[in-house]
Amino acid sequence: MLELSIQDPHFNEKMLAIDALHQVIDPELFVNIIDLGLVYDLDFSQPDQLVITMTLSTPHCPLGEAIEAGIHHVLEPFFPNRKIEVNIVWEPPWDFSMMTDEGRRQLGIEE
Amino acid sequence: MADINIGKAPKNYAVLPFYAGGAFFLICIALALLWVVPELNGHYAAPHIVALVHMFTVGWASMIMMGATYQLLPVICEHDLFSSRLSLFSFCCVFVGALLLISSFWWFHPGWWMLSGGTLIWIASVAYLINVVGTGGRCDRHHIRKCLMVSAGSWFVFTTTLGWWTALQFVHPVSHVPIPTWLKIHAHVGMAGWFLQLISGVSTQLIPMFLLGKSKKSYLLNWAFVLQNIGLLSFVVLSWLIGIHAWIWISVALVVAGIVFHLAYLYDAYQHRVRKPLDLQMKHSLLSFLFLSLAILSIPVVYAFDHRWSIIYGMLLLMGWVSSLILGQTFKTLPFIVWNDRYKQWNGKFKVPLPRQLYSERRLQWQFRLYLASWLLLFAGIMLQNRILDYAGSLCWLGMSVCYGWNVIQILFHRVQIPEHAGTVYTRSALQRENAGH
Repeated sequence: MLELSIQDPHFNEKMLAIDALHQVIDPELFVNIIDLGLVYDLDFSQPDQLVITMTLSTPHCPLGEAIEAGIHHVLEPFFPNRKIEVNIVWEPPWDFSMMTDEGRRQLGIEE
Repeated sequence: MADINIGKAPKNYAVLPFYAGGAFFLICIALALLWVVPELNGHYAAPHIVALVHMFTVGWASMIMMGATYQLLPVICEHDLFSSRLSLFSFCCVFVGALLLISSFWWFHPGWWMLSGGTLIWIASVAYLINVVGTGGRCDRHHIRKCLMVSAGSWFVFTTTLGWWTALQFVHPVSHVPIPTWLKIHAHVGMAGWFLQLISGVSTQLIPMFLLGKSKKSYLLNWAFVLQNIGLLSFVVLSWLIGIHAWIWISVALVVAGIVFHLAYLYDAYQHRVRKPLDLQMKHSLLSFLFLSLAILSIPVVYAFDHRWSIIYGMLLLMGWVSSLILGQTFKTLPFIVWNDRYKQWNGKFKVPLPRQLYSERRLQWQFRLYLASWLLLFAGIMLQNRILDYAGSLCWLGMSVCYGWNVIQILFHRVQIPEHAGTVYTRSALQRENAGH
């Protein structure tokens, strides 16, 4: 799960990235990738790079390329000097418990 | 980007023609159904009824199932499709083959006309199997759904071979086995081998995915695979060697047990679903499995009573189980395929429509209502031998087909409208509001 600490030296940049990533929708579930809990980590440690570690709701999802393109489109205007890299992982596997309350509400999932 | 291979969807030409072809044949079915109403209470082997059955099995069901496999198998195997060109080739063969075969049945022209249609469909089934085995062979891990899809593909080749062989018997009778026996084996292999096993593989992947439900009882699918195959294999071998006798019930029981395991898996996923409300597409799918259960329950009645029950049995399987599943799942798959093609590169650039906005929800609602009405009217019409009810049911089926075809065409010909401000980024709050509105 993506965790954000105010002590983090890249706190402001991460907030900006998370806000932008709210615009990338998983077309299969109609919910953005942040509220789905698909994004595991944002790595700003390299000065010229931003690495997004994330997963997909379905392995080999045919819409994976569309999601990846969406990430590049929303982040590039905010971080023009960083190379955006999307790192897809399957561990830990995604499940519904990783969703935010807002994501659960949008999917109509009962508590 | 990681080395993990994601999202390499097959080329559009490998999948979309099958949906267009399926919609075309669904409308042909509706028109043919209106035409054959006076014959609905006759024998199921009458030429027009046989033509209608092949419109269902080859033109409609096989067409869509082949396309759906080409889209889904790479997801299951986590690998690219073996060959998109081979998929297109199989479409050309099955489409032309279906036209030739169905027309030869309709006007009853056994001989080169029927055989050439059968040959093209056989070539399509072989091309399909090569593609399925080629894709599955690259799969790194064992997967029971992959096994079901490969075995379904093998039975598909077998049933098209049997169909071709039976057509040959009309012209050059070289086998001592009577034609009705060949026809029964051909039909059962098509139903319990090709359709059942493919649906077992595909539905147990798609339905839990759309319901956001998971079943941990994958052993149920292993049993479904084993029992369905042993049952069908024993049916084929014994029918061929001895003919169809009372022992056939053992084979039937094995296949039915396999179906029960398949349905038990789906029920478990349904019970553990996270998304409680069911949309129309999922209602269509649930209805489909209800029809399958009714078809199984009606088997003893079909054997005990007259041909009227054979027609009902066929309706339960073709107009019920197979059609209802396809009518629902089309709108769970096709809009995503087209959306992915048209909007992949624009995602995040501007407010792109959602896949479900590519077709009319209202038309889908009418499709569902007309489908139910058609089914009830045709069932009552055949049971009561009432031609007016038959015509009313056929007209409802025509209306349902038009709704389906219209939506499919709307999706296939969807054009991207790029706004002038494409490239600017929307604020989060606007998008969130939009999302919450759905």
